[in-house]
Amino acid sequence: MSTEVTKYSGDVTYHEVNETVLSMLEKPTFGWYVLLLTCICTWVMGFGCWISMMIYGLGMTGLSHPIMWGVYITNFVFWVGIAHSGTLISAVLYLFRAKFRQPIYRLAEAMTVFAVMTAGLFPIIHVGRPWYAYWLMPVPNERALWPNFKSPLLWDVFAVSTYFTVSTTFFIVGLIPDIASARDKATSKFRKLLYGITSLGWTGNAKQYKNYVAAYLIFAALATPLVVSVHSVVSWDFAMSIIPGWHATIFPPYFVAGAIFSGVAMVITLVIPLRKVFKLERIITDFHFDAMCKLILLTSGVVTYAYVTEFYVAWFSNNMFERYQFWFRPFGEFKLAFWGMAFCNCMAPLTLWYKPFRTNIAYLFVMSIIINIGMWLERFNIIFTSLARDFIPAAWGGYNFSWIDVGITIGAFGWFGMWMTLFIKFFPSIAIVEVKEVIEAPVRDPHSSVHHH
Amino acid sequence: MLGLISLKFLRNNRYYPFAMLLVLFCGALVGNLSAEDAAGYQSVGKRAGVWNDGQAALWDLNIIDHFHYFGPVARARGHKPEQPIKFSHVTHVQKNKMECQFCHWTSAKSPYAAIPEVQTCMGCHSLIGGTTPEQQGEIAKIKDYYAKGEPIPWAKVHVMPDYVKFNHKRHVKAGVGCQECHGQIQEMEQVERVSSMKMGWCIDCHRERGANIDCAVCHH
Amino acid sequence: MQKKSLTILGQNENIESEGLSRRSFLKVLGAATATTAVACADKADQIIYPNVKGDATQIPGVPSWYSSTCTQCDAGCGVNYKTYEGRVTIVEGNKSHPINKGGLCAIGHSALQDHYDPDRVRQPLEKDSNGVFQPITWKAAYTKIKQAMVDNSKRAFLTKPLNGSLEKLVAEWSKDVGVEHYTYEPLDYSQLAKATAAVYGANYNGVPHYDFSKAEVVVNFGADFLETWISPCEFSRDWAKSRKSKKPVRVFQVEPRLSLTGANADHHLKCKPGTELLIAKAILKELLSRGKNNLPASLLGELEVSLAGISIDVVAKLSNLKIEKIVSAAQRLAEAKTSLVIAGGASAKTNNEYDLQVVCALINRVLGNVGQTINLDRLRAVKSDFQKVKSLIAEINDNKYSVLFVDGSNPLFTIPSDYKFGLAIKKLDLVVSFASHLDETTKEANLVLPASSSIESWGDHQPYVGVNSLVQPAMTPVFDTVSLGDMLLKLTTNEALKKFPEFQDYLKAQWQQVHASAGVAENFETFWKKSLERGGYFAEQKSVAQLGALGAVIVTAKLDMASFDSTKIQQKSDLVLLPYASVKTFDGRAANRPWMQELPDPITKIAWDTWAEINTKTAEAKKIKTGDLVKISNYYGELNVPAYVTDHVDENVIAVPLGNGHSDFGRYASSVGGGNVYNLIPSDKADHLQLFTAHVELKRALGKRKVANTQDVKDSDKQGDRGIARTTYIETKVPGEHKENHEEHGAHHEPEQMYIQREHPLYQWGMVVDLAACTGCSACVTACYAENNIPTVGRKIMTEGREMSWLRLERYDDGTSEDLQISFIPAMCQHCQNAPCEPVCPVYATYHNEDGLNVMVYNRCVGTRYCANNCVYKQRRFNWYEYELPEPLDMQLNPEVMKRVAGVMEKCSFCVHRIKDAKDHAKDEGRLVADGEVQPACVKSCPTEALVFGDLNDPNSRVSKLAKHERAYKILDHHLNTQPSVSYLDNLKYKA
Repeated sequence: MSTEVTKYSGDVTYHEVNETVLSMLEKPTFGWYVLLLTCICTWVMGFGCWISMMIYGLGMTGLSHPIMWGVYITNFVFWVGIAHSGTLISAVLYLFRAKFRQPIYRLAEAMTVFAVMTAGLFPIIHVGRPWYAYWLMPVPNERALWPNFKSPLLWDVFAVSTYFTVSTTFFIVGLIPDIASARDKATSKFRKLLYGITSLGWTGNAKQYKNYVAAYLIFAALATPLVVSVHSVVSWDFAMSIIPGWHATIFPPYFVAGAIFSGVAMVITLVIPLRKVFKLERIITDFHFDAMCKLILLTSGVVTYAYVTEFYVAWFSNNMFERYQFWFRPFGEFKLAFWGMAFCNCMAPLTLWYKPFRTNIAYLFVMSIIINIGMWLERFNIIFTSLARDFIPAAWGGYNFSWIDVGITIGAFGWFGMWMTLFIKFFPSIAIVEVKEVIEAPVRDPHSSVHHH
Repeated sequence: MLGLISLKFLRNNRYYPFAMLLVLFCGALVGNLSAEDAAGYQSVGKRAGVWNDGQAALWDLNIIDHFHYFGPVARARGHKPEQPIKFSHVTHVQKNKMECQFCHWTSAKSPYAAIPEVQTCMGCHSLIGGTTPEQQGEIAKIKDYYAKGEPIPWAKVHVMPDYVKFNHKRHVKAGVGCQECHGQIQEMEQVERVSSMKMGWCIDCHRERGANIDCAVCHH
Repeated sequence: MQKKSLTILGQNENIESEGLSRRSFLKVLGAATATTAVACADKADQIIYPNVKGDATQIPGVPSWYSSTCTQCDAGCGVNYKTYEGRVTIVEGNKSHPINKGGLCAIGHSALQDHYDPDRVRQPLEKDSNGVFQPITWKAAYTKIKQAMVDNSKRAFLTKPLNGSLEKLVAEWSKDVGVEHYTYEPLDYSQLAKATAAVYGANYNGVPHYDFSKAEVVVNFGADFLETWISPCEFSRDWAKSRKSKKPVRVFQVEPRLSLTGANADHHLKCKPGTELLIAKAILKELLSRGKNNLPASLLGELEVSLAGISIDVVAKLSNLKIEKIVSAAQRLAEAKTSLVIAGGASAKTNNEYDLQVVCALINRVLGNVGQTINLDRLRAVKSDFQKVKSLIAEINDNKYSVLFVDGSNPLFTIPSDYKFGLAIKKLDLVVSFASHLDETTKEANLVLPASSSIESWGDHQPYVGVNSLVQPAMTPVFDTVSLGDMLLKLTTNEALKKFPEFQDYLKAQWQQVHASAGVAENFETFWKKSLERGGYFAEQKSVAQLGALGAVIVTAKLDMASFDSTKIQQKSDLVLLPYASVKTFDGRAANRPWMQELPDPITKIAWDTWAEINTKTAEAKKIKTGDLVKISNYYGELNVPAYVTDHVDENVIAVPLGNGHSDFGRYASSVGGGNVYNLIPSDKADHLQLFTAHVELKRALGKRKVANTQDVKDSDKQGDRGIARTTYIETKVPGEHKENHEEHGAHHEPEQMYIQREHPLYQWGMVVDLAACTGCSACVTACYAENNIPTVGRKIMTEGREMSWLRLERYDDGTSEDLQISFIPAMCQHCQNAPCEPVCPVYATYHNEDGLNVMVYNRCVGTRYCANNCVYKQRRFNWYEYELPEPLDMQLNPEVMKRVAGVMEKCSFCVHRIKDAKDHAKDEGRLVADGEVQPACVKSCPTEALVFGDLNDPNSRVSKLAKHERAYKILDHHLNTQPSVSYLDNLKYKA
């Protein structure tokens, strides 16, 4: 038993878990401030780009006729995708009792919440008149006009906002006990107050714990369908249209798989530096990376399958427009994007079949970034190439590169990074309670002077 | 940055809604309309109907109508600009029993109910000099406008945004009374905008009378 | 808006002071201008300026129409000006005018932007000692001129060809003030006129009237009769009439460069430059041998002798054409009952143009086309005399002249520099310009007296006998300008002329004669009023011309091989410059109009730029690719223009459109560089400007230029088997095309519909476009810009692919230069019944209304741009920026259509405001809208009536009948079931 248990996380003790995790909340180092400042500067820069875009018009972007959707929607889908794995890991794997999730799910959830916050910005940045974006909300108004419930964009509004609400609540519920233990350890007045309020008076007695587990289960059950639904709805933005390369029934599963794929990769990207900086090697072990890599292998496979299917269907449909589109992707103007995507999402992950790679942290870090690039390129591919060449040749066009697009894209990472940075300093980014669930319960030893919680 | 934004906002009304939203998002909730204000807003023009059976009142009165305080005053209900000549509808319509279309002769002929030509005023006022010294003063003004061959720069009371193509002719021909939109104009010493003339208000009446509510009728 | 109305007010004051009191009822703009003249954002407090004086005919907000005549070229098309409160907002063709019968070309539409040009001269100017123009009063200007007139030095007046009463006035005025009158235009028809006189008799010295509708076969040596040649609207209309008929006219186009006319021809014979004459001779010989010898026997003999030297295979070799092509042309001519052989255009302007014209005239005579397709009673007089102009220049250079008057025709730009006019004009003591722009010529003037545009002034025009067309002002002058006629009357010393206070009175005096000759019952005043309403007085006259003797011809026309190859091309490397008149800028007069600059050239699809069409082989040899800057130079000058590599131009020819490369003219014209093409043309002895004689060097200059080309993406001009613009080939059942056409016709099989179809209780508006009649002239595009306040975005934004045109004229080029398959298709929003754009809009900014229109509500649009992505036809345009118009161009804006703000989507609305207007009238009269009552701007503009608009609900309407035509199809409908409201009819072409 004990060996079986220790497998899930390094042979750490309850005490050690508390120590390591809560030590992460100690007084910020200079490095942390630098990181935070960098993030803030980045997103302020991005915000600047947006403002200038609003003042001078959307012509500042690289968009044009006929490529009316571009980098912003690409980013939107990318970030929504990132947002996925959080809930997947915390909710779905929780229901499946997949034990490797414990030490990483908190971070994944945080990532989810912040990623949705980032994704949510892009539709607003994207529209021509953001000051009227609220017309998409079904609010009663004097015009007696309702939004068009047939429009996939509206479904998006609902899907994403629902997802945000649920995942946030789920996240907060999960936090309660750990905040409590942080509260007990807190020294500074501010933190005492902060944790005091946010821990909602958690004492950890059996009754509370029972309710807590129940609530957590319910939310997990609530969140699970959303994992599938949200990205399916996002994929309908494309699938419901008539454009060759978009109008495909495979999109929902394809997008969901892709989302998990990129999400897990993002988790790895975040966990590795965290683990290094805060010395969590004994809590987050090779075993966890190995498990995540397997998940990546699976989803990479699904994604690759989807790509192949798209091409097959294009050929099989004998539809000249589809065929041209899928000839254009690998050999046309944007072929780099396509081959980049193929390399990053289909070929590179194959190396993970080889176990030593799965446990080589440095390699994984690089790989995870490659995958994220690949997934960004995938969305780029779907959006740009499909729009660039559709039915009427005379209307075909290209995309004008623009620094505004780049600025806003980078700014989004700054925005996301800022929240993450703040989070890891103010809240335990590893679920103490749940980690404890999977490590060996301490044997009462009269000689031991160590006192546990 | 903020300087830039505000500059642009002040320069172009188009940005007021956004400014407003920004303010709201920042959490500074700009004062809600007091109950009686709201009531006043709802009893628009002659028909004291609440737009869309009140479903809109909450939202629009509190948020959208607030733009008037930021945006163009001319678009707000109760707009009552100073006129170059103190023209009194009371005197002309009530006392002297003049028909509206005697002066506003294009109101049933054209999409735009034009202000009468200076010549039209002179038609009577070349003979009628006014009784009180105040009136005489005002009428004198007309005379020298006419003499100089200059138009009278009337301040516009019912300003429609450019994206509304309102056809005055059709409404008059459909038998819509002046008062239904312009209020009890015959009782106004100085003309005031009594209707918000917002879309919901139009639609409301169009629905009630079974008139066309196709967007393209007014927006093109 | 306030400012705008005040400008007009100011103008009126000025005119008052000039004593021009006409249209004083327009004195002040009505309330409507102040209230509804377009504005993007609603201003906070607005001011209403009522009229001072009332006028029952001028109801604010109700447009009033004025018929007049287009003076953009000498064709003399009738036009109607639509005015709102004294602002002309659009110009349209006059339905009742015999020349154009309702259509109007792109340049005709763009006249408005010339009229509202922000770069127009706004008041009289005088050049001070530092060579800077300073404003002066009219009185001062007149006195200065009068002072200059007293001495007895020689004075000249150089104008473009004038017409009607103005011409008469100029003649009288010149006589009494002692001024020599010279007339010049670069693209003249002097050779055609001479040849006509030579072949048909001396009394027919002019341009005959051609009737393309009656001809069965047309052999055309480079005459661009669908673009700018003589009377394009009229010719296009006749041509289209025949193309639409059961037996369409078959056109052979012989020219070294593919023109728009050539692209519409059935057979394009891409010959070597200058060999047209040989081909013509070969055809003549062939015809004679086929027994077509409708000539006096004595002459026949002579002809045969002189043609003996011509052998068809040699001709074929020299002209680089297949023998059978030439033979088939001759054969078709021989077989045809009626036919027409014409020559003209830039590619004919070589030093053997006269011979070519003579031979063509001979062929026509041999075939007996005179009286059939050629009407000699409707001669257009040719006024420009280049010989005289050259002598004038010479005399000026010898200091024989002291004063020169010039009108707005900008001769300094259009006379090649080698003729030394530039030097001459500097030698004069006083140069008075009546131009409305500070163009190249006016820059040299000492005094500028800006003439009013033809929209602001009186006049008349007699293109040919029987057509007396009136020019009347539709609004008070925008600036402080006076019409040329009025100026001359002010400057005259002649008592006879002095008794006319205004040119209007002079004009009326002239029209007394028209009234007399008309022999109508009504008195002059009613006749005058009626003529004004009608746009002129048009008499019917038929009489068959008596052909004169044919003596001189044989002598004058060198019919042997000797006169071969004017451009003296020895070997392949020799390059000749072909400066051709484009539908965009013509000879340069339309260069400062944003609409014309933004209009993509129908053949190359290039806008906002000038370019050089270079043959693929030539380009390869020089390592030149499309977009590379090339240096085209010879002894006289050089051009630096981007290259456009194409197969449709001969290897020895570099074709460059005329008109761009202005140094001074206005902001738009001078923004397009490149250099003046005219200046490369060498001077010679000829009595007309020989455009096509300049030998040039071609070099690849450094760098590339991102050309604003709306169809420059790879393969975007190949439709492959997408069946967008379709062609049915007559007489030849090519298995693929013909079969396919018929099974795919939407009209033939109504697909089973899964969903509930839309109800259209009253109307269902729809359009039919007959591709057989569409020439690709792009008039519709410009008309749409004018009617719908579409912003012109300028070169840079256009290179980013962000043009705003609601109507895209697509050009597909699927064939090779050998077998042409060029098709043009005007594509606007198709107003689909299953519109893909509608369901995806999250805020209902676009939706389908009861009339079957796909409505776009700009002010509801948030700008998600999903609709544009999902639009199958890619007809939606997004406002990437907000575009401002420089004053007074904004006076042209149509108050019926809102100006769109940045961040919203826009698209073709089928001119929904016109539909609304028609319904409004119908409602007043308690009836339904009649068929043909609503005509969107594009439909109204089309010179060939290729576009038809109407109610598809009404089975008897023209449009619903045509929609069931056997050639009818709907783009992509059979693929996507979008059910467009726009049907297209296959193009018709002869295969062989």
